[in-house]
Amino acid sequence: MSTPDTANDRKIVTFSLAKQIFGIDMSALIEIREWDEPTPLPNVPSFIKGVTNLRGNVIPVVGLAERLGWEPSQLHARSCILVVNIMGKQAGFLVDEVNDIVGINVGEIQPAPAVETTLEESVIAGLVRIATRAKDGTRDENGSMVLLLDLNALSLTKHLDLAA
Amino acid sequence: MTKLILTVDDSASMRMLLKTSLTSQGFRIESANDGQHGLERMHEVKPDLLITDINMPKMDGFELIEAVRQVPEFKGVPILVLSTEFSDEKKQRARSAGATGWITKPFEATKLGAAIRRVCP
Amino acid sequence: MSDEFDDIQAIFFEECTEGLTTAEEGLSAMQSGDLSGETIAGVFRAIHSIKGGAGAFGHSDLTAFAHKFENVLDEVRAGKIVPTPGVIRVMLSSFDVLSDHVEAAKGNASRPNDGAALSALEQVLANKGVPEGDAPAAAAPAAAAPAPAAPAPAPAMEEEEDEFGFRPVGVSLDDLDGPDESGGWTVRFKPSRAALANAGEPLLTVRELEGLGARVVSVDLSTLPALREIDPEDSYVTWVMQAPAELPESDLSDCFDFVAPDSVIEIKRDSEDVVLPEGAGETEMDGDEIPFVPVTATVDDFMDLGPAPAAPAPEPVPAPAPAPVAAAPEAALAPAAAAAPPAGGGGTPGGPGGGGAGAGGGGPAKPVNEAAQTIRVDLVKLDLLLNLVGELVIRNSILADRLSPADRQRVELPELARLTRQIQDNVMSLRAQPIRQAFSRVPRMLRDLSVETGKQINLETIGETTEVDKGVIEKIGDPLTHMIRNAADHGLESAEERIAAGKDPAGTIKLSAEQKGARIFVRVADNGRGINRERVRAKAVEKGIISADAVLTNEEIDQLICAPGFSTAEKISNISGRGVGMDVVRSNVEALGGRVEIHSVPGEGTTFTMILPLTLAILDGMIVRLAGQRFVLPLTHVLETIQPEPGQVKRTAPDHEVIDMRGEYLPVKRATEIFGLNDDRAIEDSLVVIVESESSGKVGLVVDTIDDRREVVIKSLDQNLHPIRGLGGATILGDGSIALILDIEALVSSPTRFTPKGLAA
Repeated sequence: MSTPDTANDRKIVTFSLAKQIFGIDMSALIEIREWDEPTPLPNVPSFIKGVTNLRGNVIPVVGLAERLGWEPSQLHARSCILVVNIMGKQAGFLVDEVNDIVGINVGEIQPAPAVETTLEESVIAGLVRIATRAKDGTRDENGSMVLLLDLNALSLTKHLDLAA
Repeated sequence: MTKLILTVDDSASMRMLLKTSLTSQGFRIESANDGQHGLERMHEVKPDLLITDINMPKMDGFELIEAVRQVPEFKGVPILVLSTEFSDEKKQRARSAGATGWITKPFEATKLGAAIRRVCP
Repeated sequence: MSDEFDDIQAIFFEECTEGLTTAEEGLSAMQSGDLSGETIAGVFRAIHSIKGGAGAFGHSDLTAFAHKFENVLDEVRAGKIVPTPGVIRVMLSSFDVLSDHVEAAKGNASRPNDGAALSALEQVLANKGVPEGDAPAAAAPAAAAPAPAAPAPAPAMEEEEDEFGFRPVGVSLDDLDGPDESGGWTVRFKPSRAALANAGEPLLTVRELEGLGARVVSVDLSTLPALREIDPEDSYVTWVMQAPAELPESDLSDCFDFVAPDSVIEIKRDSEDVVLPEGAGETEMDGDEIPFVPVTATVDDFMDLGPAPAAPAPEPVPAPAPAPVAAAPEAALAPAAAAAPPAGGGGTPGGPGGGGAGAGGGGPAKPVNEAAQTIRVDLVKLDLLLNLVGELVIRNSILADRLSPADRQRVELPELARLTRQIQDNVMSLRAQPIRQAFSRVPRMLRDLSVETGKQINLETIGETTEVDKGVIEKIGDPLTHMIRNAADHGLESAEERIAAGKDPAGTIKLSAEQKGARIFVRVADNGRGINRERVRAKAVEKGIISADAVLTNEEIDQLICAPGFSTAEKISNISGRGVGMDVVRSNVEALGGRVEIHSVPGEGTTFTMILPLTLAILDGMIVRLAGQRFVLPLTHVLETIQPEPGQVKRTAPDHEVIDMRGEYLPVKRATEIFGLNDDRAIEDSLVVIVESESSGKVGLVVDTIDDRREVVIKSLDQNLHPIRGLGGATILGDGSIALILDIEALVSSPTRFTPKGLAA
């Protein structure tokens, strides 16, 4: 764990949400776009903020904070949407701020502690410690803990099945 | 130089099967989907070898071979006929038309390669 | 690789579907008397291709059945079996079994029981027809056309062989019952002229043998004529090779597969006695005494241009005498071509195989360039193209919005819009397919139904070339099946009943398709008994669908058939029973944005009409605003729009309003309420769009404003999300924003607001 720069066999995108740092697999990321008010949909759970136009595709926009059971994100200048591919379906996740793209070693991923989760099932695939770049470019050796999201568990279709 | 083979078959799947197994053996492949089209393609691509199905709409394989053999330029082009079975009668018919050899469908890639090497230097 | 194989196999299955369609059309045409050679050949080819592909993909059951079927067709094609109605019936039922085999090969069904069909085919083959008193003469004239009845294929064949000198020469391949492993093989090979004529290259054969470990021990040039007499297209060389003893003979003989019949090939164990030739060996290369027979080949091998018939080859040619008569057109051609290059040129044997005759003389026949070529495109790619064109349309209007009014008038912009529109139309037409594809399974279904119900049923099909969006074709299959079954089961009477009613004992089902504007009308009409309205009505009352004192028009009673849970069948048959009724047809069709109409005349028959949009990709819509948000109302449901006068909308209950339309009171629904949107606008400031739905009749829908009327490209919500009740999809407007498309049917039939629970459905 002392040489975080070696054996980075997987890249993740880290982002902040409710003051925590999350990560998703880089390979699932399609693009990051600015927040743009989506078209609201009737009769959907409140975490589905609506649909938006991604190059001619109609994709749902999910308030990730609400989806994870927290207070809705407050929109601000750095709010953005991570457009991801979940099993062939595209979805946008509203996050508070995108931080970085970092390499991680799969061997260093720790299983998520199965405690006190408010979620219907674990959407956290695991935990991993990353070195954080401070604003001045120095490295914070303690780093921070990233919660890796299991995107498949966030599939919109899947959630519906559970709701039924 | 890699050999250029023209395959003529009205079935797209058969054309693709031929193409897949032949390109993996280092041949270049052009194809046509019936006899008439095959004759046109002969003039366009001037292949080193012609492989043709027999039963095809518009112009069948035998007619194609006969037509190809009428063209002086193509007299020396080896022609293999593809069919599901070759009775002596059918082999005879193939020769009469001007075929150099034949391949029985379904073919294995290796047999196909061997048949080609038998007629195509 | 295996993915690739699967992909190719998927194409093969598509071809099977096409082939089955072709075959069925051909067989149906034959059944109705078209016995032309072309039709028969078409069916043959279709079955043949299925067999070939099935073999390549390892579907042995399918291959075996198709093979038997093909054999019968081949005989029919050759005029050896007369396609009497009996024979055609066997072929039709074989066709059905073949279709089942294809399904089984796809993994959609288990292997069909084809025993009966196989034996029927075998009997046809054995008896050259179906006995049962079908006078062969009856069907003969057309059928026999391709080949004269005289079954003389064998002689004809022989003639052909003789013409081209391909008659197999009984090469003295001695039976080696006890191969002596000690000695090696001696192989003698003298290619015939004919073997060279078809671009055969004897050197390749020699090389192939060398590849097996054989080596050339001598070359016999004894038959080589004087230079001026050499025919460059003939062969004068005999190779003598030795091959290792451990090689199986078949490996050696395989090498000669393509050159076998009239070339001289001898494969012998060295230990055996080989006929010792006198006078041989003048040109032996090594000291090895490899004895060989003088060339024993057909005469024309030596007599190059001399087509004169000569005595059959001498010695080791025991069996069928090969009279190498070169008389036919091609033989006449060959010498001519041979004469063209100067004789001295290529004295080397085997020359023709190599470079080919470089100086090609006369121009070849002009290739006919009319072949209607098609390519197969993945539907996903078409959809992508459609999406991109949709984007283009949108960008076009964004551009128009951003330009100043003066710039907007410039000619380029309307021109761009027109081109864009044309591209869009063309892309749409790429998705269009003849509705025949949806109709194709009907004949078989009716044949089965005819057996199950014991009714005689004729099918008439009209307008099967009508082109419809592929998406529509895919989706009307089930409703169509149900309508056909309904017509066969409930619509048509039994033969006795029909006779009693003075009708033709055979009932008719007419299947038709017709395009009117942007809609397609698909009709299933039977000439049966018509709807028994008394019984329908009684049943509806009994089922609690209507009250006993309800006053209904005939049309309204007919519509009850499509009411959920309604079924008039006195006994549940396994045909249209299964607990679902015409209500499924209706809901399926409505899900496609269409509707079902029923027209029935007692004693004369019933017609079901599915009215469908031509495409599921584009919709003619009205852009409206509800609580500020834009929505699309499908125009097909819109009857009229009115600006309500004060007092025209009345509240009849706390949650129920009606609008007075020229004395007719229609319920009013507020879309804003339905969707739970905030709207405190007074009704007088709103517009009421009168829409008509199948389930609720006319309803007034309150909207804020109407923005526009235009065609929109439908984007399905379940592409990335899931269907949402009340919405038929979404579209992207000119400014890039999204408008949701309202599903009128679901909206107005819903008595209360939807709850999020409804989502799970």
